[in-house]
Amino acid sequence: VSNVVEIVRLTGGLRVADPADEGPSTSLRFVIERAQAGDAAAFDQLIVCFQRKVVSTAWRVLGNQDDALDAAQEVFIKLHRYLHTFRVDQDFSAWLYRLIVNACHDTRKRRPRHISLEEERERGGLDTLRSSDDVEASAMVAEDESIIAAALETLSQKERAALVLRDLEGLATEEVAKILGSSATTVRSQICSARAKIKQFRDRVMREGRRFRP
Amino acid sequence: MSCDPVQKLIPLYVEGDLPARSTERVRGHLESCLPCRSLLEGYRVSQRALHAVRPPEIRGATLDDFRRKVWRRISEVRPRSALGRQIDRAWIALRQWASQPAVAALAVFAVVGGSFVLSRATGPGGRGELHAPSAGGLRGLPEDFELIRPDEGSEERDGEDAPEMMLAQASFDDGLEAGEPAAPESAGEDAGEDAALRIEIQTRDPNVRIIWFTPTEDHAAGVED
Repeated sequence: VSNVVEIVRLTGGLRVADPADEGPSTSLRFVIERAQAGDAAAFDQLIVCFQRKVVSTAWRVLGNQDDALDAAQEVFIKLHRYLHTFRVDQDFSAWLYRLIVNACHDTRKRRPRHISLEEERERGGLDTLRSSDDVEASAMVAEDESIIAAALETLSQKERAALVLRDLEGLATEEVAKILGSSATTVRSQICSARAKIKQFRDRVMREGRRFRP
Repeated sequence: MSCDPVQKLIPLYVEGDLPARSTERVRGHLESCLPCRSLLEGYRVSQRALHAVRPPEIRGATLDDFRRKVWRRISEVRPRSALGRQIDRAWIALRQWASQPAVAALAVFAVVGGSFVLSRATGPGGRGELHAPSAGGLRGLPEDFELIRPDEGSEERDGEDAPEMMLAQASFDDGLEAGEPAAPESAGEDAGEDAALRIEIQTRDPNVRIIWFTPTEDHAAGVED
């Protein structure tokens, strides 16, 4: 467990290494090498380290918990199957992000159905909002989140993946391009279009001046 | 810089995604343009709302269950053999080697150059000879199948440099004459009666086409019109 805590502390959960970095941190590299050698405990440590972040990222790309959990399962199955092909001097986080994006793509192809954020919260799969004395403020935050969630549903799959990685995961455009296997120019174009659509959707809902019902 | 191009760049400008030069140009325009500044402010509000979306908090029990399911799935998957793992590693190494720009450029050059050389050697108008197949050499065709050279059946092609062209079609006893142009599909009832089925086979050579008519029921029964 202490090893896991150390890895999380060093990597920040799931962080793409700085260009100056030479692959994963020493602790993470040690765990990866043990997992590559077939150590089940080491692979379990990788699951514990990254499961929350993998599910969370998949949830943002797919928009609902069930699909996110399915995609995250696929990520770890593929990670287990192909970990031996990973070279420790590579960027592990970028590699993992690539697995996430591909698994989300496959999941969406299998199940095109979408569940809204409101439905998601009602089902109790996600924690409730942070406790706040100001109920009205919480309601407004929740409503704004619902609007953004609905706006994300209007994006194409590629636009959404690019926007999630750039604006919600905070990766640089070049890193996003590397993960998505396209050029930085293409990613900029997708992000530009996605931001414009989000704004237009939000503006339209605000103009209508009523509470948003997804 | 006018408003239109600036407004297209504002979604990127708002998060600092533009190159330095474009950023300067947009900034210069924004200083003197109120509508564009207003649009920029709208994007800032929208982006703030996007960034305010909290990461989904997933319960510990959900993650425990998730982890169990992952291990169950892993135990169901047959482990990769040592040979398979070596092949995977070699394949990845090959892909990484092939993705180097110099190697990719060399591969493109080889494909384009090879295609050019092959087209010069065997293509229409090239130095290579075009060997026309004989009727006997075509298997599976009806006995009344004929090969017709254009210079025998039509006078359309001339010139010494024109590539040799072969036409092929089947003919019936009382049907089309060899070399006669095939009747179009909408040619009329007669064509429809004479040929119930018309098969055209385009060979790899764009100048060689095989046209095959199947006899109608009347022909098959030997009934004369």
